[in-house]
Amino acid sequence: MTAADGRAAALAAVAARLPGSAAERAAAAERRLAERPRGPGLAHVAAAAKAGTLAETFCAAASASGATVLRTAGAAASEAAIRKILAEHAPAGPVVRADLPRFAGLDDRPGGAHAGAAQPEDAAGVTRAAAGIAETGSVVLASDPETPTSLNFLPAIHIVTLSAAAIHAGLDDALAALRGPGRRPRTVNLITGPSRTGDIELTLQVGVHGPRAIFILVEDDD
Amino acid sequence: MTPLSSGGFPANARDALADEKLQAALVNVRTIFRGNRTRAVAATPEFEALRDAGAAVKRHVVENLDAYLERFIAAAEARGGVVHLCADAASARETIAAICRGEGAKLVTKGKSMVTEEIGLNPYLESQGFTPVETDLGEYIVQLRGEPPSHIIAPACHVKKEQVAETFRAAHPHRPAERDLSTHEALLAEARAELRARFLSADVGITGANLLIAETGDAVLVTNEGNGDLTQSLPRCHIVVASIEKLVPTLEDAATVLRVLGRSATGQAASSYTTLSGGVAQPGERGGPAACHVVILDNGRSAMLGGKYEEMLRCIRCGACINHCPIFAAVGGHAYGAVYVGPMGSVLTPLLQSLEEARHLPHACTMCGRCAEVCPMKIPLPDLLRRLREETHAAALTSARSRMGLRLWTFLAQHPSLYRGAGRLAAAALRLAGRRAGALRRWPLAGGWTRFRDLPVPQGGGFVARAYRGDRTGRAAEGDGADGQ
Ligand code: SF4
Repeated sequence: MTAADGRAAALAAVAARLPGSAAERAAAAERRLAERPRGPGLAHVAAAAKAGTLAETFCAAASASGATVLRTAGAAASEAAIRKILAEHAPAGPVVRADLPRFAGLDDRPGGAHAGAAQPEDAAGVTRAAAGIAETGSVVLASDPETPTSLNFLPAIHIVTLSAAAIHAGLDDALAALRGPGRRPRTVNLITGPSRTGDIELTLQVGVHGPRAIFILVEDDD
Repeated sequence: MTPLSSGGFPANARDALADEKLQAALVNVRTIFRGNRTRAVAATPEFEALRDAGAAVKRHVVENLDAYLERFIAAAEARGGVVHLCADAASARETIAAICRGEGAKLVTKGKSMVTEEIGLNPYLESQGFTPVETDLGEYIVQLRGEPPSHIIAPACHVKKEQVAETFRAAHPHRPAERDLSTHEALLAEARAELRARFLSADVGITGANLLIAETGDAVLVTNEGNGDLTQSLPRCHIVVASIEKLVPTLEDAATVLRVLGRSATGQAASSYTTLSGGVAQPGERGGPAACHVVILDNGRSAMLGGKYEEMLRCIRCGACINHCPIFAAVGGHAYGAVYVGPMGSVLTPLLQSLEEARHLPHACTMCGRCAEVCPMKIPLPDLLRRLREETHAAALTSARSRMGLRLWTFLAQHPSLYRGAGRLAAAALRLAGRRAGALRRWPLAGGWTRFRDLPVPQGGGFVARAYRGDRTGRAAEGDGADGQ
């Protein structure tokens, strides 16, 4: 049996047991895909959106998830903060950074910084989030050419800048915003706090495979 | 690895109850998991509405499953992925092995995936000359111990940290013998170092998926460790293994299901890592797999469509029913002798494997109903278990003695005057026999009860007799609720 036959047979096995006709089911699916109904949102997030306090809600949720959150006045203030975090947590180790002009200034730091994919020896990764989610305190990172996914997982210290204006209210808002013209990057990571595990005696431990610490710099517009 | 056998449940359960280390480990399941979920739900006033919405999403998907499968295939392949629909475990195993062969692979890293446990993937890959390495910490521990996972979201919850240390000493002989492995931190650091090397040199990465989004062709993977992300983003080939019921229609629907998943599983509003990935790395991306395959497994699920167990196809594998099950809390996961454990497993195992082999599992239930109360997908687990019990009875898989007893009871229940007479007679006989102690150690045909506890002697008339007298304050109403019927 070829792969195509296997697929057709498996689909037929499913179809044979479903109610209605194949055309009716296809129409029902198309309807939902076109209408994209939303589930119930969280009231406290909706209230924050209305009050214009999404950044505060985001900071509270991100802190609760174990991230260290700082608010900065813009890109220049963020760079100073990043240097300070690096000096403290990755003083000599190499650093991998997003391939964005705003981070190029980091290359002259002691230990250096490089753009591109993360290397095993990189002590910290510095990158920019495409968006944030107030509901969960998550940052949204896309595998664009400037921001490879490996930056988010290989280094033990993860530093992320996030524009306050890019904070969505709900998880559904953030996912819906992934839809858009053009091709989606392969990977979108929603990251909420550091890497953790409860796999030994259900005791929470931080930093198992990914970053031990994540710093989020929420930037107000310049 | 010990072969799994659900037929041995009664003996396994007895052994588990006597296993002191296991009993100590299970205390954590009862306290930590339940407490975490309770807090998360209490902090989410919308939780009930989210449950209803999540269950409705999955109900809609199940009813239109072929349409969503086709849509997913088209969307994933438009992004450069290849989708394989596999009817059974053998074809899924071979499909995956063929992909690994095509990649010239040796080392295969794996994120936690219950579906790959279901199809027995690791032993098969080993038999084909590949080296599969589990990277989820719990899965890594049980793989080194040669055991199956004992819980769908906490695979090593039956192991104490001293046992983990022993396991690591045996598995990592290249490390200094005198090293200190007495703390959680030390164990974690050693696992991190060991697995780092594997992530970096793997040829193929295999992960499961919590959801497949039909609209976009994304697989959604939820983890706390980040191992699934290193597994899927570093090797040149990523294989997603998922079952047909993991589909959701849209990104919005994914959000609804994710909102109940984390809260139900670990009490988190969001796990550390929720990753959407579809197809292959796009031009210009630095890193990411050049090949991506999605293997979608049926393996007995389509046979559940349209039947009396269809509701089980809404399950999102959160583990809440397991964490709240008094039977699981008493005997742990291995006693079930199956990949899926607890209430969801006692429904799935007979359906996906064989009713005959798994005949004991639907009976391993007190009908307390807590699983259904906490299930985010509102699956009526006790009802499904009851239906399976009826089937084991009809198929004569229960003991001759219990069938005889039930036949007798059925006959009496259909003849009210005989029932009342027999009831009075039995009560009188019990009173006579238990006159001295007020309780009975043994009674014919009630061995299943009296082996572990005493049978109380009836006090006063039966419920029916009292109901006829209009007695609504009787003692029967006081104590009998303890079993939570
Ligand atoms: S049956 Fe319900 S509670 Fe149990 S794992 Fe599935 S979704 Fe979770």
